[in-house]
Amino acid sequence: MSRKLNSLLLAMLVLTAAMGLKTIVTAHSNTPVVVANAGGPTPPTPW
Amino acid sequence: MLGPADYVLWFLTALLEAGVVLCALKRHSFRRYLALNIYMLGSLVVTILRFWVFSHYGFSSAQYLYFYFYSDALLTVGLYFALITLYSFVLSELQTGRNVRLAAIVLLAGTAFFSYQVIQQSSDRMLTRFVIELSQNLYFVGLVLTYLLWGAILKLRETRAQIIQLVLSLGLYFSAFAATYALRNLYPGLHLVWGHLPQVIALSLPLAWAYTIWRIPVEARLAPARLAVVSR
Repeated sequence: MSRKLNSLLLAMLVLTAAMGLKTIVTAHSNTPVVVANAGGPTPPTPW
Repeated sequence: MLGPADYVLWFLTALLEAGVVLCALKRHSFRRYLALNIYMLGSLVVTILRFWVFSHYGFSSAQYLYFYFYSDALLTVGLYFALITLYSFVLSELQTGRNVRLAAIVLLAGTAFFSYQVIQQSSDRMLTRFVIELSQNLYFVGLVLTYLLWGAILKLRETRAQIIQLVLSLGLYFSAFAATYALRNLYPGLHLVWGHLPQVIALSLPLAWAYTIWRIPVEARLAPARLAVVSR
């Protein structure tokens, strides 16, 4: 049971860290999203 | 309007993605790294289909735009699961397979929930916004997970050279994207750089994977713990 709880805690910590990092990186951002899985130039976002 | 550099990068990406799958088949590593190879095969199919959509409808068309972002989100989820399989490799001796899967599913669901919370105030194009937001958030989750995995490799003294190279290439890939994102906000005027840099970064992953599978034998060993030890 404690291992499962540890897994859940770790998942939440990773999510918090990732979203915190994203907030820092994209602070005051007006630029379009950056995505590049697979090939092809990135189109502008529809909004 | 696309320039010659866009077409060259597009072609190179397809070539390298096909190269990874062929190298894996040739070295009998396709099943060993099944999730990674399925992701790369999916990337190859998406690269080809994007070109087909582009050539039929054009770069500025709604069809290309939606196909691009939806396929990107699917591939990001695929890459996320490929990364999780690397966790299974590294943590295999700890018998934590079920817990890793549980954590992976909770993390994916949490990221999806967070993405929905971000876009729920939007009035139009909810699904598209959600897909793009999820894709972006999974990039950052992938970045944190990769660094965590590198920490686990050092802590557990993992020595399999292929695993180490695959994790390092993912770390480079995700870090480069985060750095690009941050620098793009600092210098938004460099359109030429920001237009092509993501495609160049995207090349690094199949290039590193193809090199790893082709050149590094399965039984090769490294000692990454040395990296963490200060020489006296």
